[in-house]
Amino acid sequence: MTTNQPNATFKEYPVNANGLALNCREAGAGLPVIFLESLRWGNQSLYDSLARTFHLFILELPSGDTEGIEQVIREAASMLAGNAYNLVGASLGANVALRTVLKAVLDSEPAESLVLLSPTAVRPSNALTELDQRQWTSPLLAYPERHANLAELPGHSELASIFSPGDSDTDLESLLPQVRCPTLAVFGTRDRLVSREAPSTYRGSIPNCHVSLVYDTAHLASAERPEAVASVVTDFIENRETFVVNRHSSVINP
Amino acid sequence: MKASYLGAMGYSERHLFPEAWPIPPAYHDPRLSVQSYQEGMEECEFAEEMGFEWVSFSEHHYSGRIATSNPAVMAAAVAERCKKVKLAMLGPLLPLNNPVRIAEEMGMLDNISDGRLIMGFLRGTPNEDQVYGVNPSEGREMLFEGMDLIRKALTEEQPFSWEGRYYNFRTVSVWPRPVQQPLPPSIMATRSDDSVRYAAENGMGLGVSFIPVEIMEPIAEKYFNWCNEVGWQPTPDQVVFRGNIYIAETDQAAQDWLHTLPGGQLRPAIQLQRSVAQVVQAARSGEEFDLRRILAGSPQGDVVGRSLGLNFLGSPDTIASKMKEYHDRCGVGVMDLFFQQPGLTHGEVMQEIELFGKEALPQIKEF
Repeated sequence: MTTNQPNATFKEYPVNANGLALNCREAGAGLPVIFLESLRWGNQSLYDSLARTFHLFILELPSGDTEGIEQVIREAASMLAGNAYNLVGASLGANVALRTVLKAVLDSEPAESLVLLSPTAVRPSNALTELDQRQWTSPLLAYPERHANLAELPGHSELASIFSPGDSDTDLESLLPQVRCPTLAVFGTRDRLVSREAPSTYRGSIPNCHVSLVYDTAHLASAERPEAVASVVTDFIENRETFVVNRHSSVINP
Repeated sequence: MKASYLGAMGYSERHLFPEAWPIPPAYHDPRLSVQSYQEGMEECEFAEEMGFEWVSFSEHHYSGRIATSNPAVMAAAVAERCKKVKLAMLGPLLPLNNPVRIAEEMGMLDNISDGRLIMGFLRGTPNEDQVYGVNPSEGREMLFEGMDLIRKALTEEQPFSWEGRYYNFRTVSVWPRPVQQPLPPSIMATRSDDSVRYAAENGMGLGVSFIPVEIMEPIAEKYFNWCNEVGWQPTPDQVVFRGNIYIAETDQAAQDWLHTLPGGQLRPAIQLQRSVAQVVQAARSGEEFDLRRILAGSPQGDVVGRSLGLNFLGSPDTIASKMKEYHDRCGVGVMDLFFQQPGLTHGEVMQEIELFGKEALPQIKEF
């Protein structure tokens, strides 16, 4: 996806929900999209793309397992976007997004669609914790050398805590059939933080789930090929399950 | 060492073709063409009878020298005639094709042959980028992405979408899955370092074509070293060499045949207008080029091409001895042989297959 449109200007403010203060960045207009962010690194191109189409709210998640985070997210999302929104999460944020939707199943489900970017809740691998300090970027990035701002990434132990699934994620696989909203699960083809079976598990367990594989990317797919991730995420949020239908013209010269 | 018969299905009057590629369809006589395919399939059957363990197929376009523009179609036909040999697709030219379609063809071939498929992937010779309008500078990256997509398509258990650089599919769910699980044996036909490394890192075999043993040796050495680095050792079936062969009762008889060819050697099989060849080569290697200078230096009718040469020429003993060099120096375990040399009739090719099967094959099987 290429565009000459200028990047959106994000405004930043705190959101207090259920007793917890979350940092929020907001830009754009259109369908509301709540993006749960677990790592403030490498996603800006994706955010810029999404803000060109949607009303984007990025909520920074606290690190580690936070008791009752699902309720916090639901409350914050309702305050920001009302009763209908599209929920996107990356990595740990994807796990929280999934838990948020599952918790809401008993109530009216507020998420119109759910997008899970590189979720680690189901079938995680131990790739990150098994690596030493010198190798810690290899499961995250297929091409670390292409990122000038690599030094801004947190260190190995902090990343291990960010990217490892939380204790509350252990039973999520058995709950996947309860997800009711259209769901897109996105994985890098070189993501070593989840097992090879993870994409099929989501696709086979969630009733209305689509899996998208982003070629030649590792765990931080949106940092490596932001245009590709933005393309499929935008298409899915706009068109839900009909995103599989190609509406681009094939005419070369009329 | 095993022998493989390259099922080229060459058009019988191929020696009358003009020099430059593409060969105009006006040279095609349907009657001769039908006969040529029938004879080609007879050669495959006879090769199997003579002890060849593989029959291979190769995608080439716009010429009758190797008349298998869709190798899967040819392999399917031969699979019904030859019930024992492996069907080696060496192979589809990925940058020219829809990789999902190739994955589906591979799945079908492995099923209809009951698990006899060997998958191979190639970029293609420089002329073939033109067939379906592929930018020569993008062929290598398309090959790599295509291979990843095919391997994923044949192994994923649930439908998925693919967000690639060159390929974008929102629904991939290939049926049938291969009989050989998780994947049929795969071979990458290449010489370049990045492709050899890809083969090593992905558990694939190595296929090398037409080069002398001393040029193949360092390529094979790198391949074995990289395989070792990632923790596996290729089997003999995973190192394949494709070569031109002419076998006769004696070395002298083979030399006599060679001298009947114009100039006493094989002429280039694929010749391009010089300007086109230079531009393709520059684009493939990422070099800048001055188009006007190239055009000015390439008068009409100026064609260029490289003769691949005869890798194996002589008596059965001489040929077996040469093949042993490839085995000993490069670890070659499968020798894929192109018998349909220019000017040879179907009957002469059959005689060669018989001579090779009876006199040379028992020797190379000992390697």
